[in-house]
Amino acid sequence: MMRAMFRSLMAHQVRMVMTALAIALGVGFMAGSFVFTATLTHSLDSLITQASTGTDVIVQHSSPGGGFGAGSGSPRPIPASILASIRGLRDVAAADGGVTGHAQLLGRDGKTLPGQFTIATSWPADAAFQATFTRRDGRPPSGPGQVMIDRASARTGHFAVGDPVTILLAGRARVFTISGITGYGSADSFAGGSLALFSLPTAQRLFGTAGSYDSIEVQAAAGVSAQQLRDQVARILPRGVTALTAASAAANQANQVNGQLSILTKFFLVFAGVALFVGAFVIWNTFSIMIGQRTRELALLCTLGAGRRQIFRSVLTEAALIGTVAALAGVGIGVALSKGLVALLSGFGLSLPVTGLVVPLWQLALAAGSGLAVTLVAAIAPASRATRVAPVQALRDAVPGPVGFSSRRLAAGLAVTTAGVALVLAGLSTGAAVALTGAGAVACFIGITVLAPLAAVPLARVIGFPLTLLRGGTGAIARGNTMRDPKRTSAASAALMIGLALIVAAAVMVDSSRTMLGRQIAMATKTSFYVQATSTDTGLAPQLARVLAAQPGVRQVTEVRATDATVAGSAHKNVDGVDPAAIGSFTDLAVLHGSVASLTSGGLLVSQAAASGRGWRVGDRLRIQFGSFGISTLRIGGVFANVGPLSDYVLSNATFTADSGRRVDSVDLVRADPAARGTLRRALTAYPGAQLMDEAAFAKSRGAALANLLNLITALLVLAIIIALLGIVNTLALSVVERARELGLLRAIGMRRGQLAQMVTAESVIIAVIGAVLGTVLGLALGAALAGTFTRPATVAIPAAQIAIYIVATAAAGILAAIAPARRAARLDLLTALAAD
Amino acid sequence: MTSTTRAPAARAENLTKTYGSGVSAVTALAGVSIQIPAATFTSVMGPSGSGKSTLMHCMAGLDSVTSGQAWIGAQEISGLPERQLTRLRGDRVGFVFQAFNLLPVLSAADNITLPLDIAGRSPDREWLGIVIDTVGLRDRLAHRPSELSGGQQQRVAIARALAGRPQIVFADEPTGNLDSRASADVLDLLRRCVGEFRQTIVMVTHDPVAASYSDRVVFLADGAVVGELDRPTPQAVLDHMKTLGSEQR
Repeated sequence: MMRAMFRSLMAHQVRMVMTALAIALGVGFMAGSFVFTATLTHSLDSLITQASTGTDVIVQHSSPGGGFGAGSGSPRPIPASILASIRGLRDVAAADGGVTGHAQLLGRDGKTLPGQFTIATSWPADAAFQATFTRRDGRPPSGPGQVMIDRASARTGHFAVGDPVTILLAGRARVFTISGITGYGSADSFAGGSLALFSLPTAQRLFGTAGSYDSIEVQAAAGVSAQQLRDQVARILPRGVTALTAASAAANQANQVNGQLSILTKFFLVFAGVALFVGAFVIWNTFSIMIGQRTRELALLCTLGAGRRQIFRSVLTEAALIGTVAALAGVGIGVALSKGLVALLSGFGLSLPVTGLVVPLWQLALAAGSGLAVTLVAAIAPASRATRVAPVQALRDAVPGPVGFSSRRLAAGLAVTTAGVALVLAGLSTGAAVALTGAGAVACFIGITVLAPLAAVPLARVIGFPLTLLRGGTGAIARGNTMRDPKRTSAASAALMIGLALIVAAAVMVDSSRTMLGRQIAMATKTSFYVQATSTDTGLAPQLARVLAAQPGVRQVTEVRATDATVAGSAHKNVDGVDPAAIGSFTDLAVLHGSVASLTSGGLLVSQAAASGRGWRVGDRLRIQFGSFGISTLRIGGVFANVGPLSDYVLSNATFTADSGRRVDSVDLVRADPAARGTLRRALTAYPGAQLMDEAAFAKSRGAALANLLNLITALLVLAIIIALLGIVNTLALSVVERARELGLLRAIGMRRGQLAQMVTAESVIIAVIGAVLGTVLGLALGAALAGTFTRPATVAIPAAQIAIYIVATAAAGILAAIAPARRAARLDLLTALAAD
Repeated sequence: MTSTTRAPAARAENLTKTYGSGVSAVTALAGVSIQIPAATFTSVMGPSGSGKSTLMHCMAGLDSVTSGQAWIGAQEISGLPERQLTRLRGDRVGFVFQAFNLLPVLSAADNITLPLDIAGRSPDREWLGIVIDTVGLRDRLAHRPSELSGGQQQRVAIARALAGRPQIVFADEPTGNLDSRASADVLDLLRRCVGEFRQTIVMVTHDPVAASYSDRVVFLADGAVVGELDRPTPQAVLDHMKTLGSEQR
């Protein structure tokens, strides 16, 4: 029994490879995500540890955790007098103060060097704290015109010691001389970002922190533990300043980093899950077809006395074998893929530091186990169908009959779909419970898949119609072939449907959000021009606003500051700072309750969209955490209707700067004659970090991040599409074998090899387009539901051109999937095919 | 029809066909020469392994020959490239197979016009009407093959073979899958095609009764022509086969 199964497995190696690949890709994605994040976590952890080489205790502003990444506020200044007191302590071997900020290096072509972070810091004067800066060339920076840069940036920008380099500081270009080039611990750069080191006085001047420090590093005298030193230092610190051992500071930071990375892991795992789900469809369909074709063989085994249990077990063993091979291959693919993920992310503007490769064994086992489990689960239904083969079927022709209308199928499909829709809606209405919504979407997909065979025949009839006009009747036969076994056709297209539905849903979501942003900006604004910082990190110098205001033709300029913050527990919210007296002339906030004037007394304005979602009212207090800088509790002073060019949370610039530590602007709003554009552009030549935009360009740049996100999601979902195509390849290949005699006949009565290939291709295209049509319909529904929930005011925009491209691309993918089976059909030996059973 | 009554509809000259090479080579045809006069019904008979199917495949352009020549009408087909052979089959040869070989996804009508569709030729409506009436399937045209009986399916296959007015129709055991009643119908039909439409037909069979419907029987054994019989009766065919058997022994 087992031997018979094993023989048949070996006899169809190519098909087995395709089937295994469908699962292996999903497992690979999952394993790859694990390897990738483990590697990244390890790299960042080791960087964080290296950052404090030589340091035992760190003194900083007292706030939870250390910030990491773009948008977090700079640390709050510590008066210089504290450093003097620390140096006076008995067990202190060395202590040094430093300041940090952002500095964007420009390449020789005047463009910004790539890199996620733009860290600038002061050069530690005391040799005790210089150990982090390894493998140095040249000299440390001294004097106002010198800078030391990291080795990686020097390599990308082709800089050598002694070269001039242009650096953007708060949007303004300044030229420095490179006094030295340094490594960072064991790496060439700090976490893949650029590093600029200035002398302490220069850094203090550049970042506006003259006479104070952002942090103080302390080294213990011999024989004194870090903990002892910390306690000693802490005793003399004023309120608001705290001392941490370097180890616990590093642990805090690592915690925060890992928290953010786990979001990334989850993001990838969602797509890996999609890939496995799609792979399950491929397995299910392939096994179903194989069981169908093997009916006679199975029936023969029955007549020879094989029990149902034995047959069931033999089919599942076959699945287990394929699943195991797929899982192991998948893990291999995953390790290779993890490197690809790094490249993919950097392609979408998120470059990350990766050193070495960490392979998390139990997580890989989990990925492999999931692949095996999915394969087995997907094979259960075909296996149990195999047990229902009656011995008499050994004697009959195994021709799959057309599926008639089944009211049971209709009822079951509708029930599952309805349950899915209900789950999605419930998930969305209860503040977007992701698990609930996801489960609902899965149920929808399964429900539609149950219903699909009922729709396959009419869909194939309509979609295949243009192909019937092909000369030579190949299209008509192809259309007939897709209609002869609606279950097979719909199962083959179901996998594609899922992939496309998700892509379309994401596209609708993103397009709706962008439309909403554009509308918001268009609705409220009285602004003529926007001067925006190209880098959110470095921002724009406040004096730029005064420069702009002095230009002829300019009526008024106002500064807008922005940062990323955690508002009442939800992370990554934009909080803006504005000039309360001026903002009304640039955008109509349409305050519903409270007043703009409340900003002057430290109040917070909240958009109606945000307020109504959370039930906030004027007078409520919100906790806002500004990165590493601190937590503020702010009173809602007003609720406004029009977000316009701002965000949901607005403070006065005074409050904003005091609470977030950000001393630079992100956008200057300009009211001016349209003719002032040229003048403004000239005024900005000294500020390469500033971009002059009109309303349309500004709206577009606001949506750019979303467009990037859509591209990333689409790229990740393409994997699901590829798996779905493997399913179509399998289905077609099996059909070609099954219909060998028909193909032989067609050749005998005058059909050319090319026409046969055309026929198989036409069949593939019909299957693919059925998947595309179902997927688009489903995706539109899902996308509209999501967009309606997440955009305020509810905006649903359908990117018709984009969706049309998706459908055409899917049809083209259908052609691609047909290549191998079509060649196989064309190459069939005529006489063998005619004689085929 | 393109052929005249005098010129043969098909011809083979010293046809050989071997499979494999060296010591394991198997000779299927060992120098067969045969003429198929136009507007005649010829049966090819012989024990299994005698090479009768191979002869048909080689003469119809379904298989290549090892040596020798074959013609359809005045066109030599041995050595013709694949593409031209395909076209020749579509234009000038009709086939009827034992297993009917209809496309299950097409209606009877579409199956009948399939060779014309493939070749991109527009059917001669009048001729098609005559063929359909002759095979007696006018009321079954919209049906799928699975909705037809074996006899009906084979009649559709015959109509398909005739639809393009081929120079010659090759029928490979056309009654092999049919009961005696349906067999008689099909053989009658083939006979009438020769009589009424002057259609040339070559039929491979092992059934003496089937062979008796033809004008001439050619006997094959061990890849060579070993006898001929004109205006055969079932008894005469049977007798001839017995002598073949004894000669072989």
